[in-house]
Amino acid sequence: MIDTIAERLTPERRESREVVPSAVLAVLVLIACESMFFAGLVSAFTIVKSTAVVWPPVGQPRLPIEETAINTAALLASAMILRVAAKRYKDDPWAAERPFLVTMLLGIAFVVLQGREWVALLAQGLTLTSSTLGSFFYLIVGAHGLHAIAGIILLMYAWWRLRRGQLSDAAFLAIQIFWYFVVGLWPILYWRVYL
Amino acid sequence: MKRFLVLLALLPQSAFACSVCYSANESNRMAFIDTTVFLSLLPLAMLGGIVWWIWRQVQLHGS
Repeated sequence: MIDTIAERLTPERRESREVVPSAVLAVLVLIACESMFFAGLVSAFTIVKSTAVVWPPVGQPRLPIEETAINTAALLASAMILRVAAKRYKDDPWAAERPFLVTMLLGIAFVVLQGREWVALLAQGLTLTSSTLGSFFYLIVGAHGLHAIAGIILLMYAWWRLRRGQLSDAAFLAIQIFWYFVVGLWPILYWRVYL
Repeated sequence: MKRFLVLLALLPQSAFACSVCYSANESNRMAFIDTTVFLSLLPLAMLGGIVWWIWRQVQLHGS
């Protein structure tokens, strides 16, 4: 009879070892999919923008580059502070609580400031149907905003688990990776859409 | 019948070869080339990166 592979393995080798946590792998696959989604949107926007004789289209407001630079700085700072939280977490999980909270607050500040910017742009006549700029702007920036909100909810969940002493290393790493994706993606969108 | 076919042949408007190629300027041509290269290489780079990272983790845990 042919032995099965499991029977041929020594007891030590039969033990399953989690080299890459499932949560981390799932987030990496999700990020790969999301990256293609945003790459498609940015590519389509680049094509449309390249055909325009006048940009922004006639009658449409200029996007607020300076104000959004402040939002961008807040978001980048949130990623740096999350890195600090991760380093502290290794030595003492409780020491990560405060930088974690600051990360969340900076993330919330980014979303709120983006919302304020949207309200101002809508008042100036830039809507989803007013021009191709409006359509792409709200689609791309809105999609990123939804990811930022999802990231903030995940950070809140992680913070709550951390306070209860129930946050696993794998979950923390997965949430960190997702937030770094949200932060890392934004400067690319800012460069392609705003500048 | 022949007259009808000639009339039919004259009816269609001139069509673009590609439904999305609506401009022939240089910047548009470059945008198509750039985004084609970008969209072709990005998935390969990401999958390659994930596979490399997993391989590295296996090597680190194995040693």
